[in-house]
Amino acid sequence: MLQITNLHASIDDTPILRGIDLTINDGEVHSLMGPNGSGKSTLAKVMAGDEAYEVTEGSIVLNGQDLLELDPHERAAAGLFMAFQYPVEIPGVTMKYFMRTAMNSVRKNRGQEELDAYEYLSVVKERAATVKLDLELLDRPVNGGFSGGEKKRAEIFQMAMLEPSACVLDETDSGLDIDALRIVAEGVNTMRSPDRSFLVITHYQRLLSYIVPDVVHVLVDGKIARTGGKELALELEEHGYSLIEKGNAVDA
Amino acid sequence: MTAIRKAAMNAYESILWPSMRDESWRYTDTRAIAATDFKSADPSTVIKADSLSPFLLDSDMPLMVFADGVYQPDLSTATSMPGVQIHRLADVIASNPERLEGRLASHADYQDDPACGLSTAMITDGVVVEIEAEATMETPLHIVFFNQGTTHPISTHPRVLIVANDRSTGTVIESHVGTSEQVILSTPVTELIAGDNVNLDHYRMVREGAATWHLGDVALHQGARTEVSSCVLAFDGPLIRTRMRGTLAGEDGNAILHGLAMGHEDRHIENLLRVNHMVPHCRSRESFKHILEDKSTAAFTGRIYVAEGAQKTDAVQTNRNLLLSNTSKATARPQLEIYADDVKCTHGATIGELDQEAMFYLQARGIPADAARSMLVQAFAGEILDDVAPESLRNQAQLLLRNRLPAAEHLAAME
Ligand SMILES: Nc1ncnc2c1ncn2[C@@H]1O[C@H](COP(=O)(O)OP(=O)(O)O)[C@@H](O)[C@H]1O
Ligand SMILES: [Mg+2]
Repeated sequence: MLQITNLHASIDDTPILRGIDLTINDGEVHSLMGPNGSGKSTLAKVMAGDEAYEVTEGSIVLNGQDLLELDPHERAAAGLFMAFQYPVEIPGVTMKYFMRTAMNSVRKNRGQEELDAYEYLSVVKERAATVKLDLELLDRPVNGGFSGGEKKRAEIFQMAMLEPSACVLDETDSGLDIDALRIVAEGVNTMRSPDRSFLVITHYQRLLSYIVPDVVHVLVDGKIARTGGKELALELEEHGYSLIEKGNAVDA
Repeated sequence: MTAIRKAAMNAYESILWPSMRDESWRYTDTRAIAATDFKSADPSTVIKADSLSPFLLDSDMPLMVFADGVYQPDLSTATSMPGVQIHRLADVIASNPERLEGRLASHADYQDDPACGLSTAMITDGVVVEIEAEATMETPLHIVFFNQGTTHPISTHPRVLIVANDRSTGTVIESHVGTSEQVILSTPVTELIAGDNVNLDHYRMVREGAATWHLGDVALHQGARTEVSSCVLAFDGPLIRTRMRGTLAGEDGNAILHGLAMGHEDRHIENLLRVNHMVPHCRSRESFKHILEDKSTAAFTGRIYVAEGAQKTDAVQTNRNLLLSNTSKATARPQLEIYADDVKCTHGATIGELDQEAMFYLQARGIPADAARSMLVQAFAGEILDDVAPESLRNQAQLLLRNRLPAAEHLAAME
């Protein structure tokens, strides 16, 4: 279970998140929607432990562990995975070397055995196939010269490799054409399981027809302004965010 | 020979060790060197095979070994091979000095530099390699200058002359190494002279002892349609200064000049680079990278000189400095001196820290901060090391780098 309580965070003393409460039970898919600049990526990065942001109040607890006490790599080992809105290009580090290092570190931290070369390779092949990721990308530098679609598929591939219990997807749909969107969504759907929860951040309803959420939250100005079922996404699609921004209504 | 030594001595005596007010010595403090009373090494100096082994590369690479500048016949395995003559410089001076005329000390400029001046004035021994026209060196030659010193400070002046005749190919690797803490001044000078259509690669690995000042020169002179490279890998030594000078004297020449230096504690690294484009249609690529930890410092001065009429020159020079501590410091002075109008010359210098976004990305995937840092440093160095063609040398450099970084065990297990 992922539980965020009264989370406040700021950057350079400017408050961005202003009291977020969010509970995602195991097996659930929640969607976080909201206008640009409302703080969605900030929430994702604060969860992952980006030191650029300062948490001033509140807590984030995953399966009983206080994530705010952990370094970013320990959060990954604790079961959190955040798919970046803008995956970072790292020249000189191959995707292969990066993934292997990440995999070994996470497994070691979880007290799991290191996979031998054969086991590892078969896991790579299997997980790459779920998002139709070209294995040749693994010989390239991390995200180096990847197309928008390749970057997002590579994020989901990494997520599949690291077997997290809580997945945060930050605008994984942005910049994808409909085919790529379907592939990414299928990849996510294969990972759905009773002991894994998802927070799917998106600006548009489009992705949610493929990854159907149990709960939809709307973030406005660093606060959850409204929470509802999947039909809330459709409503927003129709009327836009202006309704909520003005009304400030919360029905939970 | 005598004339050259004398001229060099005159030059050296007229300059002596300059102060930091001198433009090209602004970043190198020579006061300690100037105040030291050096002697020459004992000509009976010998070293044991054991001391050498950590510095060797492939076991089948022919070797020329010197200890404090003194030739070690028992450890040297290189002999002339078909098309490739390998000799001790002392032998050539004694028996065929005419073969050195117009070659030795003709490209490494000793007039304006005290280290090169002293080195040239003191020429005694070293290696002469001549690759005959059309010939290909089957395996790289490895020349090891092992410095161990003795109870009083010594100076040593390793000298290498490589002549590659038309259409020949070869690779020469130098290692300047030592583990001793004795005070030593080493002023190695290497000259590479390539005829036309030559393919020549040169590497210099520097792993000097804790009190060995290393003030070196590499001078390249290349003819038409040549591809000549030189790469200096500086890992150990309190002061590692390299003057590298490339001259493109024949059309369609290609010079690749690389340097990677890793500084820690209070080490100082200095690279002075000059590329002379004398004729049209030549290309040069210069990339020097410095990785600085603790209180180490690095200074880079790079000049691209394009002579009048050297049209279509294509030169790219970069110097990148990675500061891993708040107390390390780097200076970059890129310079262009261009007397032709149809040229493409660029230079760029950067001084920065590790990319924080990349650090966060790696950590978010479960990689601990120190390992993430090491990965990024390896990536930074990789741009130079990936181009080191001899595998055993590349592996040695990668290992040296990795062992200097945190979480080395963690990373080593990854490959
Ligand atoms: N690194 C940063 N420096 C300064 N302001 C930032 C930074 N990151 C985010 N912000 C500000 O925080 C607010 C929320 O941004 P963000 O979390 O990216 O929103 P969203 O993902 O919902 O579009 C915006 O007003 C943005 O300008
Ligand atoms: Mg965003």
